[in-house]
Amino acid sequence: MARKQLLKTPSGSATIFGGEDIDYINQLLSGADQTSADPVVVKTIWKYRSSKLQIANPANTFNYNIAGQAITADKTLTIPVLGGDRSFVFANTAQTLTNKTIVRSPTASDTNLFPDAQVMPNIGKRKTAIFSGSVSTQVSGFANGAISVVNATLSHTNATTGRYSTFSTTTTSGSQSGQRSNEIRAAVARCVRPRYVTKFRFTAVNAMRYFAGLVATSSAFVTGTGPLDGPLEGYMLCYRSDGVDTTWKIAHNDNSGTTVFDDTTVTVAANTTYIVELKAPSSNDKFQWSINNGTTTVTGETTTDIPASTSLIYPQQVIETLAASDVKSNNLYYWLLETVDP
Amino acid sequence: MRFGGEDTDYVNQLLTGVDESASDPVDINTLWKFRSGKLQLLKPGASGTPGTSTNEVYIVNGSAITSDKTVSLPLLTSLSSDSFAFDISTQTFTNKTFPGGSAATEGSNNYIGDIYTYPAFRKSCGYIGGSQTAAIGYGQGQVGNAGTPTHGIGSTGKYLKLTTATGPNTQAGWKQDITAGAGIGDNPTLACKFKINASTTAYRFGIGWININAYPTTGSDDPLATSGLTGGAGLFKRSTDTTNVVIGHKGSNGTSVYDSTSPSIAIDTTNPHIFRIKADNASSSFQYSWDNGSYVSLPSNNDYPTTTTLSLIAYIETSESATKDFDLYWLIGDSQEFP
Repeated sequence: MARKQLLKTPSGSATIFGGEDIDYINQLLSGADQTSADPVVVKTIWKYRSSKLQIANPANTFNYNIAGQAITADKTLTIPVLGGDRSFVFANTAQTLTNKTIVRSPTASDTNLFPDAQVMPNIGKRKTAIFSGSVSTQVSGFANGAISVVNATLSHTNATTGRYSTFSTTTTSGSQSGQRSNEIRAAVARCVRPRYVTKFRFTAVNAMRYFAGLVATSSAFVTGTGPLDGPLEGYMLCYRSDGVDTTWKIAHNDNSGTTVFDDTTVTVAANTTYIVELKAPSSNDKFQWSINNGTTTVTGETTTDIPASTSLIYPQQVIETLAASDVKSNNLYYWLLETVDP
Repeated sequence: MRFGGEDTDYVNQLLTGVDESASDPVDINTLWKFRSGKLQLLKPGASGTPGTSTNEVYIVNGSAITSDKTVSLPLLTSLSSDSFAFDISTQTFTNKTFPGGSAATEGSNNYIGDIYTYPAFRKSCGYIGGSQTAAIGYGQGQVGNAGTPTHGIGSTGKYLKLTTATGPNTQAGWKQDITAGAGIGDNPTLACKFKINASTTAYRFGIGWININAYPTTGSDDPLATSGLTGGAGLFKRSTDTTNVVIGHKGSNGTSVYDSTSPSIAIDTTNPHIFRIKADNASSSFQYSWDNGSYVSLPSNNDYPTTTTLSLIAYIETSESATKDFDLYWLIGDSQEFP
């Protein structure tokens, strides 16, 4: 038996079947493309026996064979609402997954397991240094003991916004208070994908400067209205009341010229808690920034006038008073510096 | 040629459970749309009425999309078969990458809930950069070192360079004290990224576990014969190894064993590599992995540490009158607690 096709001159009419009508069905089942004239719409249950549903590759040279397993009750496979074109996920195929929530394990309601292979590499590849509020020179991770401070007699506060340490200047105009790494072992470079995150707030924003980020010096705090002049390679969050800043700026520079400032459009305000992230992504060709003021998150990136790929840059943040007898304080909740081996 | 009634029968048989695959497999080249819920896949071996007992089916439903979507099947490059993944089904994923990043500019929007891995189930210790004596985790303050360390950053990562003095038979390295060791019963895993900068001769090199608070005896090409060393396992390069590294191990019978790897692992002084070795105490098994490859079991009839407490070590030793160095990107030991 074969799907017979008579290939006769049409013999049917609008009311009479001809051989070509049966041909037409058999052609449909034999590789003819009738999409334009008569796409098929199946409104009847259409069952494929296991391994009888095939999906061809675009060249129609190889097929995906869809096989079932020994289920003992009918199962409904639901394709979720999709935001765009998507690929099926398979259990063993190398795929990069996004937008997945993997719930805690183990609980009564889920059984996700995280074997050692998933935990181990990140410990080594992802190196961290964290100041979470304690002794001003002590951070956990690779920068431990490689931190220098100025005017950092800390006080500690537990608030509804979190626990923070307060770095305060003296009453002398130009006085600074902050932390910076002072050894090469605490250094990072753009090529190891540094990610610097800090949470902080000020009680006042007049007559002051504030800089936080990564800068190519381990021996001095930055200052002035052009903190990266020199030139000094760096990528920092910047606010200078004497620079007539009303919004946060991203100060950055490579090894030539003066400081370049990008406006984030995010207003600098007192008693506002900011979470700022500065990072170099895996593409190793830019820096990116993110500022959250408790309400919104604004992001941006910088591709020019940035530290070179292997230039050593060090974490630093510093507040500076610009008025005599006017102590300025930075409530520092934490800072985190993370790198990832390529 | 004429149509007969059997030709119409043939079409109808196709639509009523007859297998015409051998003589006339259907080849659809026309857009063939199924209404939601109308595509069903019968389980293997079933042939009866869909949806009845022993004839259960998978029912494929769409969701309320508001524009057409293209759903692609991946290439399955190295696999001859694979399984669909579903959101709730119990499935073990391999080869999956969950990219990191939390900034909106590079966020993956993957969220992983609180995981009972650290410290409830696992204990970790090791070196990730910074002071060579300041280990992370349970080995903090229990680290000794030899040689003169310097720090470096390059396109391959951030590392500690450990350099011997001019030899012969001087060492540079990083090791835990034994008080920071892991019990073999806790299924410890060692992982290390390193790069050897020496030539292929005139030095000795090792990464692994040993049960003593000392570097191996200098001048010996049997590092596991060191006095007091009764248990150990790791990757070694002896001065007599000029082409490939070996896996060395020693257990209760007191015999040092140095196995060739399969496939062989060439001594490479150009690129960093990642070496892992782990113990499965329950099955008296050890496996190693090279450059994130699958774990390879060591021969089962050789001698391995059993109840020994093991600590981490990575070292290089020059066997000539010249300095030798290696770059230590990270060295991590991890053990498993059984709550």
